[in-house]
Amino acid sequence: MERENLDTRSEAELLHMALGGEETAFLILYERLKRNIFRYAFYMTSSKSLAEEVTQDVFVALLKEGRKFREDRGDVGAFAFGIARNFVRRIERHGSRNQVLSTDRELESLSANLVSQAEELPSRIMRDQIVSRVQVAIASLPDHYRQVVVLCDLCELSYAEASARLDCALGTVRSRLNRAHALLAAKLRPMKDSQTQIQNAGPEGCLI
Amino acid sequence: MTCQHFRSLWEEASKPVVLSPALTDHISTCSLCAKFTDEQRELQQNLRVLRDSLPEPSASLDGVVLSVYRQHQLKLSSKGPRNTRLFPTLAWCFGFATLLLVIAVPFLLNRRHPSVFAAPIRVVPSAPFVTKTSVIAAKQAHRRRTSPPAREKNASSTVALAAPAGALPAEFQSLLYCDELICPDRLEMIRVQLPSYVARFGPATGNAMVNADVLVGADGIARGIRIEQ
Repeated sequence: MERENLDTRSEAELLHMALGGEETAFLILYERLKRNIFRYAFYMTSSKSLAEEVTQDVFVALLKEGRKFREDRGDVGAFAFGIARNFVRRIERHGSRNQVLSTDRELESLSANLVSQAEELPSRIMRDQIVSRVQVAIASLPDHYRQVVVLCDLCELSYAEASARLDCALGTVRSRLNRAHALLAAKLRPMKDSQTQIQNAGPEGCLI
Repeated sequence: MTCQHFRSLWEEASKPVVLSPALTDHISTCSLCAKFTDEQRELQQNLRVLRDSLPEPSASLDGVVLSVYRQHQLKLSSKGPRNTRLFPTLAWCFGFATLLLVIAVPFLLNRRHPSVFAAPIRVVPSAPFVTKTSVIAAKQAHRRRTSPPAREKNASSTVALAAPAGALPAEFQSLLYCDELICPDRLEMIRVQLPSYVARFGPATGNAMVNADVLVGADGIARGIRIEQ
């Protein structure tokens, strides 16, 4: 079937067609869902390789369990998100969380980037430090707070979308997010203090 | 505006980037809320940095997923068109059959007892046991003739044995409907043989027979039963 005809189809229709053997429909569905699933899995696992693994597993599960999808219970995105959430939980249960930069290839690519962009090195290091600390702070949150931070702040879903994904009330999402922000701010306070110390020391300064 | 009101307004705002004049006024006067706002803004900034640091998924991922899809379709086509609902249907049928079996087996087992009960009851035509009450009555008549002084004494025991006032002798077990019927003065006792499981003792399954005495009234209705252990 022509790709132009399929682009206008809903995700549910694409899923049914993909299960029926329509490869183009599967590719369009994959392109629509891939980024959100990968983003959610990456922020939950803090690992690119694990996020890719989860993304792949979600689509394999969609092929196997796609016939269980019921349109009246939500959209395909929510269905795929539910699968992704289960895979992330399985990874967490097996204790392989926070494997940041776990593969050699990732380490090599990071080194290459650092060398090629030597002029931006201090800002890059600073940014990487912030990223890793925020990741650790988010990872240390209780699961129900972490879910809302990842969905609302990092995946940029609206409160309504997040409440539909998490199957809880909109007010619950809002209150959990505010509580999570308060916890995160408290966890990141030491980082702010150390940054202030560095700034006070000046460009040539020594903290010792 | 109080700090509590400020916090609640802050929490209700979905994306508190732009502050209203009322909130700004409060921040300028309250150091605690100003600190809170700074922290929240900085947190939003850090989260934005994290958001921007999202790596792109590898190009190989697309190829891997596509090959998985093709393998899946190939596997399906090699299996041929099959009814995917066949297994659930079979599972339901099996479950239903099991349920029927579970319900039917105790029912059938219960039904076996009355049919066996009906068949082997045999009346034993042994003279001394057939009409015990009539024998007792004959003995009483004989005593009445032979010893008139003892008449009063024997009469009282006869009354007890013959179960006056609608009562059965003590060793007999009343049958269900006997309580509602008046036992007549003369009851006929019949000895029968019953399967042991009907008499509620002995092996539950077996062909053992037990003797029982049944008191039958003149109307042909059994009033009581005594099972010989």
